[in-house]
Amino acid sequence: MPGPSPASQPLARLLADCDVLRVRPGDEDTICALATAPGVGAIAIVRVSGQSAFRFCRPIARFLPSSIESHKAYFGTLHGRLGPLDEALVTGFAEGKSFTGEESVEFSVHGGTQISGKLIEELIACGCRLAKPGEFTYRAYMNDRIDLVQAESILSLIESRSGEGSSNALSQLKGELSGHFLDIEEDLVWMGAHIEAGIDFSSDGIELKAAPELLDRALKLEKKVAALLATYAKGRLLRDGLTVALVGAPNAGKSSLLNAVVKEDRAIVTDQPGTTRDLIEVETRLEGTPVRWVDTAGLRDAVDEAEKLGVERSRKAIESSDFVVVVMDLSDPLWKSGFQNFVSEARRFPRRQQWYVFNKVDLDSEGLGISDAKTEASKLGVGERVLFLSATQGKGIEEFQAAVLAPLRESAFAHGGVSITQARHVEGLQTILESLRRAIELIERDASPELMALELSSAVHTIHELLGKVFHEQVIDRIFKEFCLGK
Amino acid sequence: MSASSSFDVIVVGAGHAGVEASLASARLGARTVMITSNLSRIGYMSCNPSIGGLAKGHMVREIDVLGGEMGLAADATCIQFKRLNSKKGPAVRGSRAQCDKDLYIDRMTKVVHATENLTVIGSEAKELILEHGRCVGIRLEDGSDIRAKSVVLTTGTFMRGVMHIGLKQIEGGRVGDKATIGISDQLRQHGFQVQRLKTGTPARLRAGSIDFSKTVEQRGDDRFYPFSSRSDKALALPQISCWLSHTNERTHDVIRANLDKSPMFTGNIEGRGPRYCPSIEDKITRFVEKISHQTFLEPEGLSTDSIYLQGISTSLPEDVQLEFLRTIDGLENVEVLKYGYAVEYDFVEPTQIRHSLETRSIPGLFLAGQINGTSGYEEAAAQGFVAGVNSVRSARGEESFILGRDEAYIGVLIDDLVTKGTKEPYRMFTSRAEHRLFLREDNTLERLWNRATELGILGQEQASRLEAILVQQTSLREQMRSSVLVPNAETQSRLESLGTAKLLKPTTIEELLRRHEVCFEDLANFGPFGGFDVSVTEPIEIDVKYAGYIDRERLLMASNRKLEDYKLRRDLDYSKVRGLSKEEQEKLGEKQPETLGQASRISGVNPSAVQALIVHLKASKEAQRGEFEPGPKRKEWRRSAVTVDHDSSRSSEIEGLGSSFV
Repeated sequence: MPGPSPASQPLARLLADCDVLRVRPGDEDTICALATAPGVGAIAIVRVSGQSAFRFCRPIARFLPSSIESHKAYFGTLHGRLGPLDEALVTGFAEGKSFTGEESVEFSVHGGTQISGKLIEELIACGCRLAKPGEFTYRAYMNDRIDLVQAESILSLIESRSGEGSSNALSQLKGELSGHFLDIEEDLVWMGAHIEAGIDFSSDGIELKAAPELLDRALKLEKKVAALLATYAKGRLLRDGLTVALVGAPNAGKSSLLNAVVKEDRAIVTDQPGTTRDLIEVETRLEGTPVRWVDTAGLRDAVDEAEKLGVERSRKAIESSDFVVVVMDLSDPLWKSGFQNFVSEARRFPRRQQWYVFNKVDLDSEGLGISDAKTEASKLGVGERVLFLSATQGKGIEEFQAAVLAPLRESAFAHGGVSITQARHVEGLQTILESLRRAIELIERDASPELMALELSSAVHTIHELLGKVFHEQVIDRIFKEFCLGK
Repeated sequence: MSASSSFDVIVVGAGHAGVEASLASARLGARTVMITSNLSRIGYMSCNPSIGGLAKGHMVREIDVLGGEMGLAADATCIQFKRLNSKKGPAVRGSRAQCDKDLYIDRMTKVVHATENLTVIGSEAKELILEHGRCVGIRLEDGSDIRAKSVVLTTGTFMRGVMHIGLKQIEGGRVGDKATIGISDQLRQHGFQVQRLKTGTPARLRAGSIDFSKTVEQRGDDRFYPFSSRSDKALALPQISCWLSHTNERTHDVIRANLDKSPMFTGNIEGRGPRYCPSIEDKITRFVEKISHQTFLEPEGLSTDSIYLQGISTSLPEDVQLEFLRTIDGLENVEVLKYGYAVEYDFVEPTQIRHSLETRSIPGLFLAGQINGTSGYEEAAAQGFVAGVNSVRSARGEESFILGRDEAYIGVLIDDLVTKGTKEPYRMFTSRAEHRLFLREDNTLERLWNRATELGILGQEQASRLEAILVQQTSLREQMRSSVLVPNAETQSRLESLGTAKLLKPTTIEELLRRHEVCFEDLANFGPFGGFDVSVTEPIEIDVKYAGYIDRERLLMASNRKLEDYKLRRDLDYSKVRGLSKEEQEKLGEKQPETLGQASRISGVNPSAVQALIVHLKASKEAQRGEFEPGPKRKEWRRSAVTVDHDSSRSSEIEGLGSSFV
């Protein structure tokens, strides 16, 4: 509907954001940049894009023929102002056929920052400008080569720090997520068309979809959107990885546990309680997923100022982490009261984000402590969340790691492996869900159809906003496709 | 007639567009001349016998509040009144008046002749007189010239009109009237894109030959809501019934067996017809699974024997028409007064005109009605009115009168035509209006009052009558907010008798009206809220009951308005705007939208283009102010240290690339 224009509502929103999108005088420039991650690698790719890409590359890649064939790789030696640079594969992309939509060139040179750095210097000498972050994507979007969803996927791909995360970003790029959005759009337009036809052609004797059928479709769509939304938490974990806060009494062995996981002496481990005053952050990769461990100062009442500060930081760290791992010393005769305190402190956290780890099982030779702790844990309602290990002897560490990664392994992917990673998508889908729920309520109480239409059209706007497209009389076209009308 | 006479405004055509254009122009004090080739068909209803309907009723009311004539004429000649969708929501109700066609013409003819400043000439307009690129007059068939500052063309289906009945083709704009040839050729020569459209009309039947006992009677509503607040509240004429019947498989068999004689299917008709009003041939072939189609038998007047067969327009040969008609229940012995036919005609792709309805390439020339690709009396009248007003304003060097999409259906209509164009005869639907909850029939006066006074077409007396309604509404609204009901025994028992819950605390009358089961009339139990006319109370009641939704609509309207506030200069060089495709550059350059809002609605202009335009406008403004800071500001850009990008078609390489991030 209206939106039709309703069509202009998303655009109006752009106005609010327009200060973030500026055409710079440099937009006519031909830009270049290293396209692969900096650092050691077998090859490095340098990309050039802009109206003079071919012209600016010729002095360096003199072996290029006078007429460069698009998508064809040419091999030869690159020359700088002071002599040969490297042997390289050079691929040209004609205007309209490249990622950015502009004339582009890609140099594949040997890895390392040295050679690519020199090549970029030469390109700049020939007239290129160093690209700003995201500028290639910006150009691709401005030239209509990618839609907003795809543009964001690329940004997400760039930022993606985990293995699974990048394949998720890749599937979005290929339009899988766009595909899900298009499905949602299709359903919304279908419902909109039926409601609008009932309004505008009520005297044409058309057979309307009965309310139950409409309701059924709306309820199914509600489920679909909710399921897609549910992938967000997981999607975000894939992209950003996990943050795990280690808490526990001083000297319970948090640092040792961390060291056992990291397998290097990163945390300072001493026998003096309260050594860890500052947060120590260690990042590891567990099966390709980045996991940030934050070793916090213990939560005991601090004696000096420095420690007070540490305790405060610990609290903050706990609040912003995905998991809380409470480490306790099984050999400490007072563990029980500490356990009770921690469990009550952690009430604010969902249970599935807590782990209670009993360290130093090696000192509990008869296993009495273990069975005691198990009984206590089930009493406190966290029986499923306890682990036993010995950090210094490396016992139980693997099980611990597996426990931490468990949520990532759950196949909560209701949508064929696609998950939502962008806050913008979450916001949009939530808006759609709300509209849809209001529409369902209106259908259920047989309210005025134009109110249902209002909810649906606002949902259609939102999905179009997500897809970066406007509403073109789709509902009306659909009406004519489906109904026999005529006065 | 002297060899050359001079006026302010010339209106060519006397259909629904021509009448409103002439009257608006003359009533604004401009010396106006109406040229029509058939003086006996001023305001002729050449197709169906009703005015109004869904979304169309809205426009009739809008024309009326602004000072047009259609609503008054429809009210005065109404022989059956219906409020469509009355059981649906308040924003989608539409008034429809079936009218006595002859009385309608009589009335319009009288009004036209009685209007000061308006001269009527019975002649054919042969040619536009163009001087220095401007349209300065019309040459008539006798070779005489009439000169004016502005010319409004409302030629309907007459430009190169060809009627089709079976494989027979007759030149003409409608039965009994000849076609106009010269002007459309002239427009073509001046570079206008002129294309073909098609429309059709059903047969007219003799009432005396119909067995109505085999049909279902369709009565009008008991309650009459006149289009015009200037009309009498009571109906002037006796009311008639319509009759419902259906086609059946035998009807369809006859039609199917004769499709080779239909100009639609033999390719004789090239123009595109309306999807919402397909011929019966079309319905049967496109919706094969439907074994029956409804048809309403509508009397065309009180003193005529002619019955209009709604829903069965056709261009099949006469003998086939008669054969299939006689298969329909009640029509077994029917006699046909006039056979159905299709008509093909020239229209000017409306993206070539401005919101004022003046053509872009010939100043002084205005187009209104079917010539702009619309269908329907109301769509025509709305444009005629606006063109009439603007032809005068242009002649006087005043600013154009343009209604917004958030003000009136008329605004939606013209904006759609000008920014999007049309591929089929354009008809208004409520779903075309994005602010439907605000653009209602009941609140027409309220939403257009300021525009009406700005125009000044309404006479002093009429204006004060309308203003009185608004004053009454304002004081009623205030009273409802300030009157508080206390939960005493008397109040509670009255509430109980109305079937609504008792009060728990003091409540204003307005809050009480929010209740689902309480209607405005019930309020008379609790204070001086009785005895008001429904035209006064209805908008108040709807505003109260739907307040939440209407507030949302207002927010949306405000945000859409922002795009309208971005003005685009006519001389903006779109080839300099980065991020526009070639197609977008051409479209924008050609259509010269006046605001970003208009630009955003041009088909083929993508949101990315609007974004690019915003960026361009902002950048050039900043460049002027010297505040420009180059460099990306987008958050995502800052986060990304490395730029990775690849042609998405080469996904295998991307796969490889992705692995480098593990």
